[in-house]
Amino acid sequence: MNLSLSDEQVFLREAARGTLSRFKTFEANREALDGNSEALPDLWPAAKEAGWPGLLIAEQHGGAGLDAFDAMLVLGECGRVLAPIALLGHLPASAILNDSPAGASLLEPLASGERRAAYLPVSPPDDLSQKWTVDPASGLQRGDAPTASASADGVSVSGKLAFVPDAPGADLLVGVALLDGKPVGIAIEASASGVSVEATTRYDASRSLGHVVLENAPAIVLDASEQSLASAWYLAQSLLAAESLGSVETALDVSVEYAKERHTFGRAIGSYQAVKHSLTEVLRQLDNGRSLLYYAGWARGGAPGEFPLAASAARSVAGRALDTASRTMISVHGGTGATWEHDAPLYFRRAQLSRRLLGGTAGATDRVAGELMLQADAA
Amino acid sequence: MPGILDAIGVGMLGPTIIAHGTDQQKTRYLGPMLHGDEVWCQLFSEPAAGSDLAAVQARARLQADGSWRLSGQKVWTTNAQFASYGLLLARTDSDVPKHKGLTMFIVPLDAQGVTVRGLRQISGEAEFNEVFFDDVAIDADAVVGGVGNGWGTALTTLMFERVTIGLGSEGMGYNSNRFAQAIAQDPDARNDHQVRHALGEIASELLAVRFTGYRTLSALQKGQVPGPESGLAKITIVSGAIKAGDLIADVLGPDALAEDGEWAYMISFLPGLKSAGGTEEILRNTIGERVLGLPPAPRLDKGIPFSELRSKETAAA
Repeated sequence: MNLSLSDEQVFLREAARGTLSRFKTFEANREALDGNSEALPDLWPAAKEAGWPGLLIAEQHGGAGLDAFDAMLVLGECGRVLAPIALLGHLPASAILNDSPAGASLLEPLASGERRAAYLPVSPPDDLSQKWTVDPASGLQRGDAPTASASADGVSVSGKLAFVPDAPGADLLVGVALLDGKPVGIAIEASASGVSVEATTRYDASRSLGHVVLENAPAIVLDASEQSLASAWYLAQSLLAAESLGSVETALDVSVEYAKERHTFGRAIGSYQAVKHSLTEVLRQLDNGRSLLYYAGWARGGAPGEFPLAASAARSVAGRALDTASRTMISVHGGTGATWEHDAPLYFRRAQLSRRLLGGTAGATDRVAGELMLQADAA
Repeated sequence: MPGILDAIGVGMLGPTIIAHGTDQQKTRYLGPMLHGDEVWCQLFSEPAAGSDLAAVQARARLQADGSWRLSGQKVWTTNAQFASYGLLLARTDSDVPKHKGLTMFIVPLDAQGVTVRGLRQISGEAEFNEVFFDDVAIDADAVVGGVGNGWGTALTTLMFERVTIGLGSEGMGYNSNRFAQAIAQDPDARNDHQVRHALGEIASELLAVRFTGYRTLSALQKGQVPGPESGLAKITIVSGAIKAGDLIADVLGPDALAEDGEWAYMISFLPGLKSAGGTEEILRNTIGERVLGLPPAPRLDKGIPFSELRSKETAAA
């Protein structure tokens, strides 16, 4: 297990930071919130140039052949600047296809980024239920996974998925459907009949979301294993965790700098224990999150049986870290931190929406308990 | 669950001797320490010098022949009742500011004038002690790290202490699998959303520090010196274990508090552990200042000779 970054990984991260620094993402996010969605920079060309769409696709298909941890490093950089970029949707989809010989012909344009995919997130069964489920449009009751039916004309898929990251504008939708009650991988052309993607944003204009409705949409059945299909869910958890921790890093940096400069009663506010401790608390949660990113990034390939636990723990800690960091950032900046023009509200909006996507931070926390119950039973 | 017999010696006092001791001290003491033939204790804290460790008053006076005479009192000394030796921080010069007048000594616990008295804790056990030194004779070659360099030597010990607690927590039984097992036994608890949520939050943090431990070991192997951020792991472990104890006892009920049971012991031990090896408040201060670079709060005793501080405190009272 790698517990520190290799030279290549340091370079990957620095290069990503450099690529993203060319864009004024914070100003664009604010303008987009004010209704001007054109203000958001299109980061896909930069992503293509950097080779990010192909991170998890094998070299023989034009990708970089890297693994989860490397993708997480890139997502962390995206999170640092709240970048509006479609990797959270694209990468898990590419991972499923990469594991499916039947989908091999689809890989090359996805690796180059000429075509973009979006993962249709379906969460695997846990210790309490045998069902594969999807995020509901609202409420606590999760929805059923899409169903596939086979006929002489081929396979078609029906189902509804709410708040799918990066679905709008994706060329290919890749996920899981139940065929005769069994989970199979499916790839659906977004332009096919029976596919509707309703673009939406909620509170955080930098997060592209789509409500996907499939009505007998023609699909290719993929021969990825059930473990691979489950792994895609946990990969999405890990990527979101990494992105969130990137946001925590810059939120903390900005807050610490302010705490050193701003004075009250004759000394810097950071010299007061309460402020100092609140910032140390952000660091504590950030450091815990970083350790879990190593665990999750390694487990996907190195200990697949532990990947559900590792990824869920990473998501749980990272989500809570971003909640803490975003609220602390506002507090440390006093009244200014609660004004529209400040960057702190952008982190707050990112935190608020992220914690309710992909099963929610709470769902991941529950999954940690569930995995530990399974481990306890097996012991 | 078996761990290292003398985690204090092996975890932090031995490493201090390695960093600051003479070759003679290393040869004489490290082998028996590692073999468990000689157990050690840390003689730092005093009734008036816990968080403000540099304010220790135990006094070692230089004799004409180069030996020393030690008088004073130490407190919270874990394993003093078993120890052959202790690493002791004493004042050797009261006329300079507090940090500058300190020296570290190796003190035999069976020396004439040493009295060890157990202190009972919440659990009723007496795992630590107060130790009194009444004009105890100490050899010249008992000095570790040089006369007047006690503070620098002590900082090494404290750094290793944080790493030891951070890395040793799994061995102490503060781990997510053990806590999950207790919950898994109860068919209602394992399905209860509140219990699962609480367990998930606790366990994910404990899993994180397990991997922080691996990262720390990895860095140590590369020769990197662990920084103050290792204190963060201690905060996480103690608060995680406290919440786990609360959750498990809520699930199991009063039987979890049966005096001979594992949970009562853990529940009793944790409040004190929150202060051991540096209180959480001090750790957060240190990390905020040394890692985040935030300015310290003003102190009123900087640069003042130690002998003057005591009279200031008395005058103010």
